[in-house]
Amino acid sequence: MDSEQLKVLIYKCKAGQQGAFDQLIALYADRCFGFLYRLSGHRQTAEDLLSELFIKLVEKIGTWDGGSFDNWIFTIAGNLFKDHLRADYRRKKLLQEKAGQLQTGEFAEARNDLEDKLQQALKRLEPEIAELIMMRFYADLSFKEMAERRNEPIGTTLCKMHRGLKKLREIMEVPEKQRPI
Amino acid sequence: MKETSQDIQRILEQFVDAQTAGRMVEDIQRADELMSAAATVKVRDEMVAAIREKVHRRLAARKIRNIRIRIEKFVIAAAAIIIVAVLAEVFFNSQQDVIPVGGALTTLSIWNDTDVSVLKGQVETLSNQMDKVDQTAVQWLDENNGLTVEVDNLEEVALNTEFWKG
Repeated sequence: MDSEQLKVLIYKCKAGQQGAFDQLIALYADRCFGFLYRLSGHRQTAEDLLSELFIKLVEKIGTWDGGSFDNWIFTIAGNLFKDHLRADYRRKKLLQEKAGQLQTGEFAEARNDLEDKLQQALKRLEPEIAELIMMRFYADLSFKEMAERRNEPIGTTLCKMHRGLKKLREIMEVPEKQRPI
Repeated sequence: MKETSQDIQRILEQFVDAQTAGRMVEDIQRADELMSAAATVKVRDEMVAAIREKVHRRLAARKIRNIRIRIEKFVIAAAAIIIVAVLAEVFFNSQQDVIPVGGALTTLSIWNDTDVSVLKGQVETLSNQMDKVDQTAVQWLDENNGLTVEVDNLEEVALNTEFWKG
């Protein structure tokens, strides 16, 4: 679907057409799910967030200003994930206070059911860099678009991204034993 | 849309030398390849169906809410128009009532007895004058008796001949 067709589709969504929303879900569900899954490492969380994302879209689609829709929708998805992390942190803290013996590490480990190489590598990156990499991969954004979204010079975004991708490559390519500590 | 390797190289060369930029581009490319090679994750079909259903319900709720908002707006506008119209009517009516009544009360002073006696005197004078005119007419007719007889005769001829029928 080219950008003009996508624009028409979004205008139909703005008008509240059910069929248009179905098309939009078909178009973005997998990519948004992949993005949220890779960030959270947990299928159930990713599904909940995906559902929340599309419900939010019904209410917020009218505020889309005609710019890059991918940028817009993945920014909302990223914000939802951050909100989830904050809520999760508060919940864990509360549980720790109540139970006194709950180990956060174990809790996080038990929730993480996507244990492929990439997921393990992403866990070792700073959350900001991991989100940046996911944004580039799933939202298909250019460095220029990402820099604009983050309100920073393109050189800064490129350096952060390079640092993150280099680390990701090292973690994924170099075996555990040979990895520098 | 993502930049090509050449685009990235060009951007990086603005900050670092060509050789370093080349290495950075290579790092980015290799990482991209690793990302693409990683298992793709897909959302379950049941999940998509459930999301669709939730979206449909939310859309229906939004539609009802929009209709309610429109009705509310219309009712408010109609009420505002009616209130303005009623207020305008009340205002204009009160203006019409106040001015003549006020004028009559201030200009006509028939409410005291002295004014009534003046009016009575005027009516009496007029009545006397009319009586005098009557008397003058009767007196003239008496003096010119022949003329009245002639007028009577002419009226009779006119009635009998029916000349007006042609």
